[in-house]
Amino acid sequence: MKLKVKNNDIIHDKSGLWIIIIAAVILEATACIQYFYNRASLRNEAERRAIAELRRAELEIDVVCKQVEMSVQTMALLAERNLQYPDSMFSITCLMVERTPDMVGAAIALKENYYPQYGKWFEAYCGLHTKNLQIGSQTHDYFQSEWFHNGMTIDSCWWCEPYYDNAGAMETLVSCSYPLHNSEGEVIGVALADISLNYLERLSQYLRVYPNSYFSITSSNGTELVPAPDTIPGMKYHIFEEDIDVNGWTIRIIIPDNEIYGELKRIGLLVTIMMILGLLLLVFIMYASARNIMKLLEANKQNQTIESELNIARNIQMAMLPKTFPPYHDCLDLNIYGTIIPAKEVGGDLYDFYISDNKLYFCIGDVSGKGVPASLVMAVTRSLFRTLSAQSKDPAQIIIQMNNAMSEMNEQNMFVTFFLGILDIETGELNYCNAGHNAPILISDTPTALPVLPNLPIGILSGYTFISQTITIQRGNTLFFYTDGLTEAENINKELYGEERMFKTISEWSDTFNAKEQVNAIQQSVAQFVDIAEPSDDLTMLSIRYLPDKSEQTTSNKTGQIVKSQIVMRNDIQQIPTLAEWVESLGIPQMLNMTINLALEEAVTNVMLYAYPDSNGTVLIESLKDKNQITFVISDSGIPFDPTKKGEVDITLAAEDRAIGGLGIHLVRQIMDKIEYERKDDKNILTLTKLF
Amino acid sequence: MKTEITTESNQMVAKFTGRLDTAAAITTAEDIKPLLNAANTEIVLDCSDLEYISSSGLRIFLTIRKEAAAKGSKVIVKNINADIRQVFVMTGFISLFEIV
Repeated sequence: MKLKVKNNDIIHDKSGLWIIIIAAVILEATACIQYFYNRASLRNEAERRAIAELRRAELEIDVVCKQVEMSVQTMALLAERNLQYPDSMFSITCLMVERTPDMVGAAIALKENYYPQYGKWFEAYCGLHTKNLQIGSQTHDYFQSEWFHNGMTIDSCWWCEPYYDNAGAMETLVSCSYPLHNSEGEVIGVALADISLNYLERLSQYLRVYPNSYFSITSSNGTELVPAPDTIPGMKYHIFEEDIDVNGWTIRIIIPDNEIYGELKRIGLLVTIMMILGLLLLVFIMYASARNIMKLLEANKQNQTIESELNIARNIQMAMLPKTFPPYHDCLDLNIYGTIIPAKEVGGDLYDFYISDNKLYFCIGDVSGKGVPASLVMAVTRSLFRTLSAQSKDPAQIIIQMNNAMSEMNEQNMFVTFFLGILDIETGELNYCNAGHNAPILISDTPTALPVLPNLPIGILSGYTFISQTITIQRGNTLFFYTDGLTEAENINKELYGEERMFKTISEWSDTFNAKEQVNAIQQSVAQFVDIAEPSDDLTMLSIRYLPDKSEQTTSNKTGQIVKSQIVMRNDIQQIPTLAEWVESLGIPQMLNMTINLALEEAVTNVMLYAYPDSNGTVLIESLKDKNQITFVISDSGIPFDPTKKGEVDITLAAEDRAIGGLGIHLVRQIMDKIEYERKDDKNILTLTKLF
Repeated sequence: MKTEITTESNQMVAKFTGRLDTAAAITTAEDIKPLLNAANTEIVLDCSDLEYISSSGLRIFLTIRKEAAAKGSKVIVKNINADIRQVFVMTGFISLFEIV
């Protein structure tokens, strides 16, 4: 069977055809064998029945004949006894006719001139309707008849050929003759009986072996005693025949073929039809199932193609993500790590970043939906980010353009939650715009959510005005971004991972973790939580660590290395707390922290008051610490001012007598071990030293 | 830096909370003005939650002391920590106030 699968791919399948052929052959052979066996047995049955009936018919005829012979012999006997009484011949014949069934006439015929008173001929006859007739005469010269002649010569009953008696009985008769003997034993005449053959009609009840079968009886000379009906040309007949010994007749039973085999033929036809229908059904089933198999194979092939193409799509998608993460040799201020774990082969989450012009451009996003449609939108979003962020420095502007572009081609109403940030690596200033995405986590001392405005996601409303925000992050801070695949990760009890667990895991981060270790810690926590449940959404995480400046790094002085630090302050009293923080970060032995802080505060306050009484300026404080001492150099470019010139304060005075001012420099002198002033390059330079 | 003043029958309590540095002193100077008008009262400066004091803060304390003396009031400094005690010692304030 030929089945077309593709244009240039035709499959020949002969096996199906062979199955049909063999099945047909087997079925037909079985049917034929059955048919012929049935036929043979039917024929045998017919034969048996016919033969049985023929025998019975023969028996019947035999009986009748024997009866007649007996009667004739009896008649002969009686005649022989009463030869001297010629009149009794008549009564004897009458008696015979009365007593014998089927006998229509009886006669006693004597030889020529036996009774001289009657003349030459003497035949006493009695029939059914005529009685006591002497019928021998010139016209009826019985001496010439066969029956007389044979009856005289043959010493037993002689049956003549049946004949139609148109002189007397008007029917087909057969006669039986028997010689008469006188007392000397000479043959003197014949006793004769005429038998009607009507009785043969009675045989039909036996001989009709089938409803439409016929029978015929012919004499040995071929005279039809019971005629057979004309056979119809073209029809077939079965003929069974039997010869009757007693009179040489032949009985035939004629059975049309149809009678015997008709039922069989009908059944045979029915079976053949059913067989053909069955074979057709088989052909149909085979064809249909072959087509099904072809369809299945085709679908399977297509599935495999789709699967392999999905794998390729996934590889393309993964290739779109950044492959290397800072720190780079030319950017040591950042440590970044990102990862996407897609739920299906391809997904709709994205993150991206690049560094340009000492700024970090980065984004994270989540396309609505999953699978191939989401991944296509993801690819578009990413390219728009790359293209548009190269042209604008304002996150809101970039997102506005992305939104307008994507809203236009958005027939499927897909949208993207998106966070875009631009981090100034030098200053730590982060410009960002959040378009409906999960608020990122800022980790300084403790993890807190970054404040975000409720902008719409991208792709929902063309022309929407997105608003960006700014925050300054400190070195040592981490920014952690994620998609809702993290907080909405489900375990088999349908519980969500949730923000609480995320915050808890983040707060358990070791301070020594790099970005990759941070992300891995969260991933492990989620994996433990989800356990054997199927992931329902892409899981995406991005960690950006703003590393402390290597040249400014301060550590505790346990190893005794020389540590430098500096801070620049504006002429603003409100910066004093910042000064305190900076002193805190220098790693001074704890018990000296407060006093050194105080001394610096007093010195710097004096500079602000006296060096910059009414102008803006900056004060630079540099610190140099080794294992023995710490030295501060406070320099400003204000008007010349030497705090060491200030007079001593008398602290023994009573309250009423104490002056309000002067305490500051007193404290500096008290706390610091060495104070030096220098005016150099138009700058006031005050050096304070504290020994440990 | 927070300053809280509570008044009872014969007493005014000023509770300081936080760091009394040069920047905070500007506000605190305003906040303690009620104390400067109190006559014949006992003024308690509660330093239990005072973490730090610089010369500007000391100036404020001195001002309160001077005014109290002029108005017949008494100033008590209460619960200074070790750091502040050190500063009081360095500046001689330790003898200017009754310290409890």
